[in-house]
Amino acid sequence: MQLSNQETLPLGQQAAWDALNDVALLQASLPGCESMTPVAENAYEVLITAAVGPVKAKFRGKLQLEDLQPPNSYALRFEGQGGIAGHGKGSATVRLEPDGPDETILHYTAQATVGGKIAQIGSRLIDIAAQRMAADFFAAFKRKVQERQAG
Amino acid sequence: MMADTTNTRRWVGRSIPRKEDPKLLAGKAKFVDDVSLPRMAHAATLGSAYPHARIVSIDCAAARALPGVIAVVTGEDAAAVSDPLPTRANPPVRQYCLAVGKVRHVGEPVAAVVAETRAIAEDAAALIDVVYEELPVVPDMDAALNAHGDAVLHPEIGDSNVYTCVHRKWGDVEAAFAKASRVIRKQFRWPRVSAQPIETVGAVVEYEPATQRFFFYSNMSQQMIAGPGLAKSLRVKPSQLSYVPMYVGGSFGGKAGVYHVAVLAAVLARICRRPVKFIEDRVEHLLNGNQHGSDRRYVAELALDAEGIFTALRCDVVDDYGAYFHLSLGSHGNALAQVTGPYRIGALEYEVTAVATNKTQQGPYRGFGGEVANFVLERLVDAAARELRVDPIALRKKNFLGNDVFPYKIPTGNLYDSGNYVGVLDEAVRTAGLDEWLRRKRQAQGTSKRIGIGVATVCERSVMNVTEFWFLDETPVNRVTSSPESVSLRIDVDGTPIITIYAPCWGNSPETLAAQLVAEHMFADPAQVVVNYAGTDGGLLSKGPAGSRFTVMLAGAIEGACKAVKAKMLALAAHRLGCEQALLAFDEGCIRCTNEPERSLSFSQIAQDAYLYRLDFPGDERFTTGLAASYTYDHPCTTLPDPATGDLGVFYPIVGHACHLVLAEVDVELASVRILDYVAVHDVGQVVNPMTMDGQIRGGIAQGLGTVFLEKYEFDEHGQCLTGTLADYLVPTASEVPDIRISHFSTPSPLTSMGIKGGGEGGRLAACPALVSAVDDALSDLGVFIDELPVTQDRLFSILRNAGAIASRE
Repeated sequence: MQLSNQETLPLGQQAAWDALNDVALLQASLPGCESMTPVAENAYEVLITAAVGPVKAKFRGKLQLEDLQPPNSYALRFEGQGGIAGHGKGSATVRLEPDGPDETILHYTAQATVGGKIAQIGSRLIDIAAQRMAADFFAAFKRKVQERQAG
Repeated sequence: MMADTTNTRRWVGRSIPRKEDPKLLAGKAKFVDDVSLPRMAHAATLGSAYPHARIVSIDCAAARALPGVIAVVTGEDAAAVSDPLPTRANPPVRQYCLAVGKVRHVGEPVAAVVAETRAIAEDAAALIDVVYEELPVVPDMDAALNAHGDAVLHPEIGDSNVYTCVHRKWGDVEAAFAKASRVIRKQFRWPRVSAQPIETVGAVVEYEPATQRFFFYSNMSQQMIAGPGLAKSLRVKPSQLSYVPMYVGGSFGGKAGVYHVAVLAAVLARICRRPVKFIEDRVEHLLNGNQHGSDRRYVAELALDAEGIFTALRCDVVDDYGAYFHLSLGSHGNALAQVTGPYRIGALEYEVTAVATNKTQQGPYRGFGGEVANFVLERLVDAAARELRVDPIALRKKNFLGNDVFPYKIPTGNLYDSGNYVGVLDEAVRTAGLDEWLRRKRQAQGTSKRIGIGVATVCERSVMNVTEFWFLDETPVNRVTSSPESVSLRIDVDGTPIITIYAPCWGNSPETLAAQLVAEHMFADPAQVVVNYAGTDGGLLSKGPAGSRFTVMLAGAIEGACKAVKAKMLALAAHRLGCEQALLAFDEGCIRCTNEPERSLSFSQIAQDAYLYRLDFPGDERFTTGLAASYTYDHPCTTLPDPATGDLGVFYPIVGHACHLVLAEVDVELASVRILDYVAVHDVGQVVNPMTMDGQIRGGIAQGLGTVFLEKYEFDEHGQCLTGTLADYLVPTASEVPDIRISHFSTPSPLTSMGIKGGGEGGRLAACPALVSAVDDALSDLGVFIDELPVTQDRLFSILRNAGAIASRE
């Protein structure tokens, strides 16, 4: 799976950086995320329910942030186990680019490999599932940021 | 010169309706999933998500705690009560019904759950927590050739993923290549494909503790032969197994071979002391079924002399066998039965390297390697015709073996019993109306919808002998040479012939064929012939359908049994009529005095004498009560290999032939192929039932079409199988299969009963090269030569773009 896109966030660059490091906000925005628990410096344990085509399962995974260059960029590495549904692992890079004082463009690329049932019966659907998950995440993320601003 | 023998026969050669159909069409035939026994439980397996890993631990506690779960069994649990699966592997490669210690491909079962329902079993399987330690993955043959250390799948056979490598030479290959005026050298890639029977593999097994016997209800075949191997796996005596044949929803090879499903169900039944049903779901079947076929890369060379005569053939083959090796080099033995095709090629060099990768184990699939050899040879012949700028049909005719050479020994040692290759080809050209095809092709030239004509002329070796599984081994482990088929014939007290066969119905119409053959010999009506199936408790040997052998072997066994029964009937009738036996003859439903035709005895009168009136006859053994005979027929013509000379012996000598001509349209803008016309002429000697034969041919062509255009098991570079559903692994549907015009040509075998040859695989053996040849021909002006399958629409698009026929968007 390969994913590369950009999103415009309604925040200045430093505010965008802060929001992206706000675990509660991330957890609330990530579709299906039940918990995101810090386990070490920049490392989290994530419990998430995800669906790819006919396979729906609870994944327990690790998320590690790397190469942090506040407020410009960071990388992340993740892997997860979904029991009988299979497993996945991958990495992503995020780069923030200011677009005026109140907006920031977030560039991201991600790649992942999957194994087990998700690969066997979902390989055709995985790109679509990933795009949809990204779109859902950013929609929720922006909405929550705006709610916070309004509040 | 069409040998027509049908006019002297009353039933053999006629398309009578199938005896199986009333039962099948009414949904009354009993398949394995119809079996339901009192207290029966259901099993499901947990397949590995990793292609290569050590099993560190398996936690079954949560699964066991689920209400409705009866037992959770790991590989180690199973191995504690059973031995490895039966195998022909040489070197010996161990495979258990559940993975022990290590998993070697995705989908390999690591544990099984027995529960009150299949749904509970599946839910429980999802609760099993397996900790794996990943090992280096061997995703393809190149990785396999270079693997060492932890990447080795079976370290006990050496620090390498090469199972075995064999190099053989027959005839003076060097001289032929040195003298050649032209050498055609090509590389080919044959994809991993399989049959997709609607019914997956399944078994219901009941274990009876009082007698320590297992009762198997399964769609796996060859139970008479496989029984001792199964018994060994289960650590019991063969007599402790009772195997009941079921109707089978398609096999095409995959339901013989590795018996993991039957062994697993038996292991579970014995542990639980309850009957257990285990039927693979589609994903289990695709990932762990016994059905992935040859997965080969060839470098092949054909030498031609100045006159365009083929003089020698060289094949260097790497075959990706996957995680286990249970059929050893059998499918290469098979390929060597007809490796030189219908051509007079005097010298052959063959090298095969069998490698282990983290993919599903190979199993047999219609063609069993012979279809790959046919494809490679026919591709080389097409390439030669193109290079020499000669007509591919003319080049084939020029190199055909003549009708006067038979019986003909090919370089490997196998024998071709008979044939008339020019006759078959001419019949195909006539049936097709080739001139009209050529006119249409010319008309389409230069348009976006090109037309091509494909041709394939291939041999169809039939009636296998099991030596092919081991004769390439330097130190064979099991030099088995028997491949018998048996029947029992009884004339019932009312004169009804009852024939008992010992192989199950695989969809190959055994009841119809048996009834026609018995009717022919016994002067009966096939509608009146009763056909029964017997299981292992019936006791007679049968190898069953495999290697296009069943009809021929059944015919031989039936002839033997009928002869014995008829002799007794004549003796009874002679005594009753007071007539000399030599003056008696069989007639429809009776025995008649030839000199006094009004004096006759009906079969029911004779049968009553045999069953009820012992004291009306002399006391000697000729008149023992009853009217029945059993007969076991051995292969009519096979010999042992000779290790001293390298001669493989005669192992597949009943050789049919087929010519397929294909008219295909290739739309170079859409990168699509449409089959406009398809002609298949087959010579399978005497045809028993042309209608069922046509079904075999059509089905084989449909599978060939899948191999050529659609099918392939895709594995990614991490060893993950990406084709775990029929939405990812595409098979042809009715709309992809064209109308096929079939014609029969008969060169009877001199070796078999009635001259019958096997015909179960010819459709697929011929379709693959013929279809590809048509696509090539349509694109010949672009210099396209297809050397890799499948030619999916995607792939055809790239081919056309590389050839400049489709503009690149970049």
